[in-house]
Amino acid sequence: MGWVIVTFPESREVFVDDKSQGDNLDASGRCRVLIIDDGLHTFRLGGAADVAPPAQDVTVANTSILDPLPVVFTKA
Amino acid sequence: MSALAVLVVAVLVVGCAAPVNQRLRTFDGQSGYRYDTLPKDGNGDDLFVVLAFSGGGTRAAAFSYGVMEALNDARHTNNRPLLEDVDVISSVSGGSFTAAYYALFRDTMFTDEGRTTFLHEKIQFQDELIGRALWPVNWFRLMSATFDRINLAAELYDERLFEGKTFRDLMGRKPYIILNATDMSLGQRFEFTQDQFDLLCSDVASVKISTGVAASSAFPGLLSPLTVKNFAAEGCAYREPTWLTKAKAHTNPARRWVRGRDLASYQDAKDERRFVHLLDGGLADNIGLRGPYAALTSNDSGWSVLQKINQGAVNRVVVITANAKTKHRTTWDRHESAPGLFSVLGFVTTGPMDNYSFDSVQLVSDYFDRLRESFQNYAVCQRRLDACQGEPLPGVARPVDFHAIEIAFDAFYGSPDNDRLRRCLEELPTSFKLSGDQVELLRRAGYVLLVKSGDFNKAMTAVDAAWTPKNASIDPALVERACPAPPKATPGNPLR
Repeated sequence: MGWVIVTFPESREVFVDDKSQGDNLDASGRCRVLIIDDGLHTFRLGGAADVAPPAQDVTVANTSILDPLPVVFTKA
Repeated sequence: MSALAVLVVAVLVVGCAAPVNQRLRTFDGQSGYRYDTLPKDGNGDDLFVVLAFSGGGTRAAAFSYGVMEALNDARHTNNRPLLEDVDVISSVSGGSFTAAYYALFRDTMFTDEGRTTFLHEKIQFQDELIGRALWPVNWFRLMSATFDRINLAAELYDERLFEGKTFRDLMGRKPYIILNATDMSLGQRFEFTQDQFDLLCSDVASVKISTGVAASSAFPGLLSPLTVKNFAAEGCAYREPTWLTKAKAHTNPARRWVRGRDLASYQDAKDERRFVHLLDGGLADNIGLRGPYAALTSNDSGWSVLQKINQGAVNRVVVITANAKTKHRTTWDRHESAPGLFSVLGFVTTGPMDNYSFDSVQLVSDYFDRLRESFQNYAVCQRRLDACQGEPLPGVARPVDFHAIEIAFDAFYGSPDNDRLRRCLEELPTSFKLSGDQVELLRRAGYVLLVKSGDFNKAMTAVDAAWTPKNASIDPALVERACPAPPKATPGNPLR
């Protein structure tokens, strides 16, 4: 099992392999740790197309709930 | 003249065999028989309950019936039966009869009349199946290359149990029934869902339930494989899911890669794989737990539980496995001579299945332990940070409560009566013909084992703190009738 946080300045819906996994931030604005199984996945964010990169392939491996893999998106 | 008439009839009848599945003209990943298309109707994902029913002929069908009956009696908040909260039932072989019948006929199955009809009449079809195979008209039909013993069985199941219903009839409400067979070429699980049939460019909604159950219970040798047509070469504008593309592209983790490669073979090798031959689901997974395991541990499944946890939709996950495994005691090790051919064949057809079943149950249980440990570590770490006024950790989805419950005969132990009961149950044959008392004993065993299961009681208390378990027991006289003890030797009547 893998653990991932998706960073972006705003709260956005996270899609992994085109399936919604909820938002990247919780109600208090903290990053949410998502459970994503190990392996190669495509991450993208929903909402406005002001995200860079628009999508990225990431290999999830060797993570833990206390040391999640950061997947970083920035404002385009 | 009469010979000619017979020949004409035979040709007409033989020519009638039609494919069991229809072509899907246009792929649509949002419609068809899938978990996400089923209406929730008061059964949301918050309490997510999965049942897995093993194979084992009438033994498995009656045992899983007893488990469902106990779930129907297990009332929690506002007197709601836990059975109403079941989201998914994944089944194999004998267990598939109970799962599919429940999905179609629901609570009527648990009335006195419904129980008698299902358990003591409909599911006891072995003699009729043999009779049909021996009926002369069917000899001609069986001469066809596209009509075999399994098609005869499917016809019988349709008439006796499933009344012409198709998978479209399962689309009205939960639970989501997954009937599992085994793809002979891949040696892998093949499920009767639209997610699987998309790969064949075929519409599972038009497939008869009896066909899925027949494939799921096509025990090798006794029944022939069931053949479904792969329409991929004719096309349906199929779009491969992103996860499948990614899984094929990366050999690590190997299990995901192999699963992706195998699934993609229906499309990628469409010219070589124009037909798919299916055997008993027990060959790939005899307790129907591999599909749920994939959904519990990956984001790839059509009903991924991880995805639901990430979305904050799931609060509690309960997985109940009804395992009607047998254990035939042997005297092999008392003799120097090796066991004979039939003993060896019997061992190789069931031994590996039982080992694999044990592994599947352990995999789910271990996975839940790891998830629990992760959430506990997170909570401990956050408490320590809070104590020294440190930065908060990133948030996690709300804590999820996991329960893995296995119901199997070996829970009867610890007393001579229990030992006798266990041996009786474990030695019942795998067939579709058991005595009325044996069926009643199996039903009662499923009921009692669930009600008395410590893991089940823990789960029910978590669901509803006010819940109290019901008393349930098995009448020793029923055990005696189901498995009469051999007569004892007496001084005047020595037994040889």
